Amino acid sequence: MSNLIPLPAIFIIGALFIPFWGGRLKSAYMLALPVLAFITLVSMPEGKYWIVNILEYDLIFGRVDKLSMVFGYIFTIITFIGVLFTLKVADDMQRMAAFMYAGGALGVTFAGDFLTLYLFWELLAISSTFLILARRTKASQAAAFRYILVHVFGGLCLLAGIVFYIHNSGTAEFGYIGLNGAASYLIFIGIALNAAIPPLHPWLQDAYPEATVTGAVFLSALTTKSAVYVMARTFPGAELLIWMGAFMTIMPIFYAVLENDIRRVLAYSLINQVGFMMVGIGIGTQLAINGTVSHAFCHILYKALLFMSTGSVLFMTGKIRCTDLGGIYKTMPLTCLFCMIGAASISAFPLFSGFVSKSMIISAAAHGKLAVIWLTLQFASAGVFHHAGIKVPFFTFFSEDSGIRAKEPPLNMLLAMGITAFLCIAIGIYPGPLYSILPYPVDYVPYTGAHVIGQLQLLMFGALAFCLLILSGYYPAEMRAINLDTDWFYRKGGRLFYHAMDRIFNGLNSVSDRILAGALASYLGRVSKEGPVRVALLFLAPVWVLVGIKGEKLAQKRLNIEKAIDTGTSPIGISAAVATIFLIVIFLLM
Amino acid sequence: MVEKKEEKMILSHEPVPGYRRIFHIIVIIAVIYLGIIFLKAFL
Repeated sequence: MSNLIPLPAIFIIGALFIPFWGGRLKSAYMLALPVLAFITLVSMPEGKYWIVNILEYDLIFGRVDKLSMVFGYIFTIITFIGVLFTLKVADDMQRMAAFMYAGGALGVTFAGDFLTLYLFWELLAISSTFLILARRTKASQAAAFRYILVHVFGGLCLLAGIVFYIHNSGTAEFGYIGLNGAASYLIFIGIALNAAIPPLHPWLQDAYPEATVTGAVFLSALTTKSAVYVMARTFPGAELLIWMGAFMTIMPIFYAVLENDIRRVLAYSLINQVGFMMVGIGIGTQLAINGTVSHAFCHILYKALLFMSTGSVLFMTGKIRCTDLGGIYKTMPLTCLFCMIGAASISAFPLFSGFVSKSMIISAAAHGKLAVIWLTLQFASAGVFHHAGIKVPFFTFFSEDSGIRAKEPPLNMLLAMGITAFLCIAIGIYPGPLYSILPYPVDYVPYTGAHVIGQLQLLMFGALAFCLLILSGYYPAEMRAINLDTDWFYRKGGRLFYHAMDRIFNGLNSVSDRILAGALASYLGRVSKEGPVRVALLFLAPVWVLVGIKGEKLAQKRLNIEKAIDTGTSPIGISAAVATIFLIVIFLLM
Repeated sequence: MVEKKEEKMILSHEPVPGYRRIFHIIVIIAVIYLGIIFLKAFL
């Protein structure tokens, strides 16, 4: 097996050769890379490959088991779809960054030790930043800067945790560690940041909507799902994750309803969906982990489909806000259809992929008798239908007619969306193949009468709520503004902090400058110049008065002394007297 | 001269006459319905 090319290397090294190809050969080359990766993937039996010994540590680049295989499959599939979608975008930087990014995700997935994991973790952060920068707008540059700063912080937490963990345990093996001790909490924070667990989430809705049309497709698929994979491997059964995940499913719903930018709505719904996965990891049973993994698989597909369809609208119209769009279904019917398939999948409509995966996590909560969590997830399901299932297609393609008459996107984009839509429906109708690759044996049956009717009730009441809110005028208006949540702390709070520090420290600096460099230095200069004269006159003036020197003669004597000391030509007698007094003073002091 | 089109700053949703009453009635029914379910489940 070690004779095969390491999976991440196919993408990472392959990316370096992209600029050397041209025209259709370039397209063929780029499509061939994920195909080659997929062939390599299916040829790999379980085990550990590509082990390199460095500094007494075994770096394992290929740890293959059922869990890593599922993520390997979906990362490779989505890379193929993403590349197909991006073929008409003539920007090699984006293409190279996308392949590096996918290579990083595969590297994380097949890493067998924490050091290798960290290496690819950082590659994920750096390469994905270029997908945001590649839009080449002022807003995207600012968002990319914030994005990389946040991820460097997360990476440092992870690195610190890894160093502590290796020091404490004596092993670098990447496996279950559980939440116990400082090392595990540092690792947890590093992973939680990439998983966008609140309050470490705002980088996601800040950066993804600013990415390029194709960049957002890759971003939606890889960073958070890599974190889900790492979390599933290191912290399954951590109860903290159940509550954090449950909060994560609820909190974004309210922000998503307020949002005007369609891709920001999708970013919030992404956080909501990862919340379901975190709950599954926290529950930690076989059903819950299967649910998490299958939901990650399905979510990558339907979220990519939603980002592709809305991205196509942005690509063709240059607009992505609810206030600018509407009525586009007339000229972009296929894109509209694909968007609705993605919306139906994320909403877990029966016969769509979300239905067969999300329900496993909710059932796991019910089996674990977690009533509050079960209710929270049901509410979150209605919420996600409300904003991602209805709001996104409604305000993008229907709603008030904006008068925009854009054409359908290029064929490769339609094809990429078509393949993804097909997979969303195929998995929804026939989940058997997906269930067969899950980490644990599956005896779960999604299509029961109670489950289907229950879900349809939830969705229909959700639709009713949306209609009534719109018709009654209670639905919040979409405004051309940026809604801040916990990113307030570094976007506004950070600025306040900067100004406060500027005032305090620069104020101190200014005062110190005035006192030390201005007044004190001038005083010391005067003292050093006039001091000897004053000291000499202190002793000589009473003597002159006693011997009868007065008036102008006394003034002249003073001037002579000042001049003599100033020029260093004082009479020997005076110098001797001063030296004697100085010695007496020293003697007395001692 | 190119005329610059003003961008819409807000997408407000004006109420359709009669629907506010329907909304309130349905909310009241929903609250009563959920209340009964919770009472039956937890008492």
